[in-house]
Amino acid sequence: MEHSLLHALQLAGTVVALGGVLLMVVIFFPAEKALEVTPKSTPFAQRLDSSVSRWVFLGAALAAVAAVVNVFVDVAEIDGRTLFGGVNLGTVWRFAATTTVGRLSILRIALLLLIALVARLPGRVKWYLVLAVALAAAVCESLVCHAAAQPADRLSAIALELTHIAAASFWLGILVHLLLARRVIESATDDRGSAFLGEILRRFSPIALGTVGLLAITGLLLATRYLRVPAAVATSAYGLTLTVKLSLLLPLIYAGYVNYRVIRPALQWAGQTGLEPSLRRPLLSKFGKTLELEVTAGVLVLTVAGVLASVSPPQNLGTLRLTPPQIRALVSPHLPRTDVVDPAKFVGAEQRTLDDRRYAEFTHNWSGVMVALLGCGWLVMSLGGRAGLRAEKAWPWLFVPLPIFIAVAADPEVWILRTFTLAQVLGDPQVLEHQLGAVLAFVLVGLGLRDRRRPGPERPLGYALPVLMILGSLLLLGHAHSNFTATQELTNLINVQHAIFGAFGLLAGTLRWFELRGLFPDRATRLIWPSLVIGLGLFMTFCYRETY
Amino acid sequence: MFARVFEHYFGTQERCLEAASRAQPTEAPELSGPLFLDARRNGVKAPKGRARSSMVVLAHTAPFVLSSLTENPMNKAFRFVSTRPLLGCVSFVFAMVLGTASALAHAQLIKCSPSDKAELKEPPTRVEFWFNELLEDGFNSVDVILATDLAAKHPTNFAKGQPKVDSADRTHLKVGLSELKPGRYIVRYRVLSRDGHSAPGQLTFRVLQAKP
Repeated sequence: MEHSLLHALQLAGTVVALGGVLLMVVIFFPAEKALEVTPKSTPFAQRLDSSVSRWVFLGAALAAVAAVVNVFVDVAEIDGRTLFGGVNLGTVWRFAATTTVGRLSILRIALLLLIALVARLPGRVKWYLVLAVALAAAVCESLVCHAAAQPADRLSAIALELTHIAAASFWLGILVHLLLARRVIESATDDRGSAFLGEILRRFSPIALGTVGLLAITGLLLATRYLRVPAAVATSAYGLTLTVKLSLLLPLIYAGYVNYRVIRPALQWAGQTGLEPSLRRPLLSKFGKTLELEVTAGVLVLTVAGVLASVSPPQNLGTLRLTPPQIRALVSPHLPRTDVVDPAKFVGAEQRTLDDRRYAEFTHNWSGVMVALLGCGWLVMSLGGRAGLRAEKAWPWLFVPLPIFIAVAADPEVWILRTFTLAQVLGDPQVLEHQLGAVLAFVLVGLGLRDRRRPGPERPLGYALPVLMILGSLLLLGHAHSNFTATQELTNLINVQHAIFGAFGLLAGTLRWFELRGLFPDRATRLIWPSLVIGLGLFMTFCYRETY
Repeated sequence: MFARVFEHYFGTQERCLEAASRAQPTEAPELSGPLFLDARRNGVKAPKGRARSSMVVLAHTAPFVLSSLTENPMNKAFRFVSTRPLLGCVSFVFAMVLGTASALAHAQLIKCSPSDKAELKEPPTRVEFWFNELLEDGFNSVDVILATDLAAKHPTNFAKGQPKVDSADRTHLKVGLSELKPGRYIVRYRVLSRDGHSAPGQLTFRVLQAKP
């Protein structure tokens, strides 16, 4: 998981840094030249320039910090531990100095810090230096990924990866900067400001369309390369995560279409007809809103892309795809397991035994029952009425057993035998992730108990719910059970099922966020997102399998 | 469906402008919270028929315009997120998550010698692995232990020295073995691939008793 989040942070930071400099060099400066404006004569241009500088600095700094942490996490992982299990600084130094991946990481950190430093300098020449350095950082990014580890056709894979990152920066990176400068944009109600904004959008639209096309082509080529067979889309963790990424692209494309077909012509029309500033504001606000939709979905796409960078693709081996018996087991619902196996029978075994896997099914099935009940509570709440009021009071209490169950039962070592000390829990990635899941659920319970203070439409949990749902789902998408005791086949089955959990949760959290922000029709989303939570619960209850 | 959603939210260009011209900030009620939820809370109901689209646009645009004039909507978005307890908890969880180590991505074993669950008449002198990704050298480990020593605190490792990546084929890893006696052996390996991810694996083989 940490790799997923750290990859996402590095990717997002690089995209923001590269997107900012592309906005300035490819769009902003030519627009200035075309309209013959100087920064001093147009306050809007000046404010946009300073906003882009600030966020390029922050993006590069964020990516640099994530890259530093990633080096330590990589070294901890070599010893099969988490960062909290302890890292030998000498090993970190040896890793950074002697391995290709380590040297590239150090180079990338240095380049990102240089971007952060230069972006805060005054003047315009800096942007060309930042562009060169940011491109070098993107090259480094593409040299530390699946593509770089391919034994055959490595160069073409790296070139595709680099093009994909550059295209994402051109599209999403620029959009992020436009959203971050939303206040500046909304203040551009004077003639010069409006004309300048219109010119920026006029220049950005064809670039955006082109880069979307490029993203689609490179994405398709990369997917074909990594997945090999279409069936892998549904039968591998990589394919499922890729599907989540593509589904998050839909709102992004939708908002882009609205911007292109409605907002952009309207802004140009307003500029040409000399519309009163007070009448331009709603348009600018609407532009801000569609930008928000685009960027929210875009950030999630980048995050899922980060998760993808740490998920093994099935490639031609096919070992990371579900086998026919596994597929049959998943699509044949069973009642939740009721036979509790004594963990003493299997803890410490050389390989995961049947009892061990039955135990895992038992914990997942009953967690699913609790999740489904919770989703039902939220669905009834969304429907309103007297039942809704009752559900509003009841759901936090319905939720209480879940974190307790996860904390106590998720890992047999923690439950009865208590062979794990706190230090061991912190050092073992699998146990730590389960315990973190319990902490997240406890947070939700705590917030649920003070939910009555919120305005009606923001219940349950306001913005906290989608934030935690999205974080928790990313945890599930990147959740791994790779260890000595599980076979590759079983590990893949577990990872695929966790990817399904993550997909349900991420889509539910995203829809809830869109509903709260007023970016999607609330009538549809308020029913869909609790239904997705129920769907997640039902899948866990009736379909989760490790025995087949 | 798409056309309906599109019209519901944005209407046509003319309708947007028409709605905007009606949205006088002074006439709009004091609002807070997400856009159209506020509009509904304040009694703005969408009529049926042709007037619906422009009314919906008005209901959605006016509150947003007003709230964007008075405060940064993003601040409002994070009103609950930024409360101290939640921020503390989320930061804690986030920091912990960043420190955990369990990437799904890893080099997959294509073949090995001796193969998994092999029964050998002669004890092997080395163990070799072939993976589907390029490997980094110097950070790979291979332990070959007797199955009966699995629970021991310090089992004897029969692997001799550090495993080496073949410089001609960087997917190939090999390690020499000390002399093995008859018995069942467990080989546990952990390899670092060129994308920076490290992952474990296990295989077993048995050395049979030599026939007299």
